[in-house]
Amino acid sequence: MSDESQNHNISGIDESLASDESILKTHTRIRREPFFVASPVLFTTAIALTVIFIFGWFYQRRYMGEQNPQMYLHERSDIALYNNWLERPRGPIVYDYYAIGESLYTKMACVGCHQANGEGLPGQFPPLAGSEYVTIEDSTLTTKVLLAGLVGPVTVKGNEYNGNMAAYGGGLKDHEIAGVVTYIRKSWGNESSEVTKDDVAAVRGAIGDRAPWSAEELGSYFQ
Amino acid sequence: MNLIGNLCSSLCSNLEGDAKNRGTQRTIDASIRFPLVSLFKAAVCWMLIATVFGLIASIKLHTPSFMEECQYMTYGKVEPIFWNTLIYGWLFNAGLGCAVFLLARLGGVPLKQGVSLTIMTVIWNLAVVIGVIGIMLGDQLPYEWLEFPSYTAPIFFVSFLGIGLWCAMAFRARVQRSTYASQWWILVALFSFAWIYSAAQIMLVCSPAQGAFQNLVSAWYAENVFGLLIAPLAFASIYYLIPKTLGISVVGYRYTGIAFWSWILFASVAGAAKMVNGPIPVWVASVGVIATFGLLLPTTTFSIQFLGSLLSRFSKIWDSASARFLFAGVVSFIAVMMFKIWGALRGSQEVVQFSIFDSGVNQLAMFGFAGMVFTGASYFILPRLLNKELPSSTLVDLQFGAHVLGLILLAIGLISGGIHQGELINGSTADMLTVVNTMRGSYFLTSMGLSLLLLGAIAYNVTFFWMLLSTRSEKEASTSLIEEAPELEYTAS
Ligand code: HEC
Repeated sequence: MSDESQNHNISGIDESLASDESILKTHTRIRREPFFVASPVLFTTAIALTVIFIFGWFYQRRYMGEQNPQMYLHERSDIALYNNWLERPRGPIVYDYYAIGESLYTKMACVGCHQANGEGLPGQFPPLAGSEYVTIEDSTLTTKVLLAGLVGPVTVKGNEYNGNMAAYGGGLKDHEIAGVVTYIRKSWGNESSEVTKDDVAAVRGAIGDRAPWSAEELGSYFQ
Repeated sequence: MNLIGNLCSSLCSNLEGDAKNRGTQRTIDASIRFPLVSLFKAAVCWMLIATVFGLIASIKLHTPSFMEECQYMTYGKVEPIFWNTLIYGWLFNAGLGCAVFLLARLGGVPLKQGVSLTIMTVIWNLAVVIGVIGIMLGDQLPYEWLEFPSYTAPIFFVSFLGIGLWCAMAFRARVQRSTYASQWWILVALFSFAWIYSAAQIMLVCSPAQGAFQNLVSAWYAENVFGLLIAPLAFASIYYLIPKTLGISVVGYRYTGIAFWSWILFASVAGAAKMVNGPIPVWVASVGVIATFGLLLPTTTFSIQFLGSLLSRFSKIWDSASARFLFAGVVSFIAVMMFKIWGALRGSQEVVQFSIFDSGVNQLAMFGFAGMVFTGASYFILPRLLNKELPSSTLVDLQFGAHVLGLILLAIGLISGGIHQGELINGSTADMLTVVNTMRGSYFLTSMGLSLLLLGAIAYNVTFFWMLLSTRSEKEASTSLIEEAPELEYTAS
């Protein structure tokens, strides 16, 4: 091998050209040399530092989500679109309570007990169509039943029932309760007034968290 | 058996005729011979295994039916096994081997407790074996470079703690008061790995972070495995080998501190750049991009230091096996950093994100940069350790040629292929299958590159075991082959 013939040291072993101790000593001395001298390393390092600084400066102005720490978009045009969307003109929210109630009546399984025609099941589930609890002038009664539930013996349209109606106040929001109440008060021939979410909020505030009603407690409505 | 006798005599060389020559250095080398040989043995074996798995994974990309019937060898298992054996098997062992050698030599004292270090590293390698089997059995975790099943984590952690403490004590035991850049880098690698590994295990495995934050932690960990473990160990070896093999002080060594601190600062946050376009606030990814770009600073300093030193003694590179590998490693390092910086910019991520580009840059970093540097260092260390010559310079030449060519093919295949792939996917008129078919050429190139790397790995293994198991020649048995090293001269710049 041409390699070997050139080797001044024993072939097959890399010669060590500096002793360990002298490596330490010499380089320690170099570290004590003055810092700012004409050295290619210092020169290029300084150039690199400048480039990085310029890059970093422009980059952070361009891509920091316009100083919004919550921003997920990086393109300026996208951010502008997003901000416009956030600031779009918005009127007051208008609820279609009847429609909300209509869909919740099936979703919340009212339909399973009180039936699609609102007639209930004789002896088990009282009807909603024509029920005095639903069609009553003062809608707070219906709202109270929905919010807190109803247990024990109850007379609806002259028939006696003794079951358990669960409370929906915890699961449904004010506008949803208002929707369900409005729906049952206006369906199957019932023609009572609409209930709004503010009405529900008022009732909810008045009764708070409570155990289900008994028919007796609500008796004052029918006097 | 004769081989076992040779192995024993390799480990316990007894050179009576040479007692005074290099007395302290011989005792230093003797004190670490046992752990180092076991580390390098593990390293060369894992190198072979990793390359084989890498090749299988690569072949599966263009010929999916390859080894299709084997349930332990699906692509999803082979690919993580490749990366994990590459990092925790080969590079960790090789890097640690170099680190221990440097700590001992630069410290200037024989190190104690070599046996406990050996035990710790054996435990570490057992954990890698268990991890590989675990992945094959399907217990793998879904995080990049942390795929080893969670039950291996405590073993890794405990053995690493032992290794780290051992190295810290070895550093403390030094007789030279002044320190050298290599030692700083070794300490950085050891401390930061303990920290990133435990942080990642806690935030990803013990009590997993939720949502996109998980991805961020995972990206941060993977980038730091390179930036704060593998690269520092490689820097340590480079800083040591330059004066050793070239006989000059490192060009511009005065400015090493800049490179050191800026590298640690930027590398530790650079991982966030992977989250560009991800579901996290933009500023996080942008900080990552700026940090990655900031790596230009240490990269420049390193490049001028290393290249300046190497080129000023260019003829030496062809005389010395170590310097040759070192040179290839430094060139790969510069290429890797350029690709990393370019690839982190948002404009290029539009194209290369989710393509094979990242895998290409990582393979170049692991095989090309760290792998070549550690191999070069091992060619310097092993003959000294065993007091034997490199058995065949043809094999070394073969390995060098195969690795350089292999790396070039690999880089072209994966990196340019990745850019091409990204462009195709972006210009989304082509359907996925067309893209895959067009990519086939790149995958073939990659497989060819990996085959060459495999050839190199085989040559390396043959050299290593030949050296370990051969009978000592007359000369090797009677004298120390290593001559007294001259003093490194101080020339004021
Ligand atoms: C599990 C079956 C069941 C479900 C579901 C159910 N109810 Fe009832 N409901 C009852 C029973 C039983 C009573 C009678 C309670 C009693 O006996 O004290 C009742 C009573 C009522 C009453 C008062 C009595 C009446 O008939 O006017 C109203 C109003 C009412 N339910 C509305 C609803 C609405 C609206 C829903 C859906 C959100 C609903 N219920 C869901 C079983 C049910």
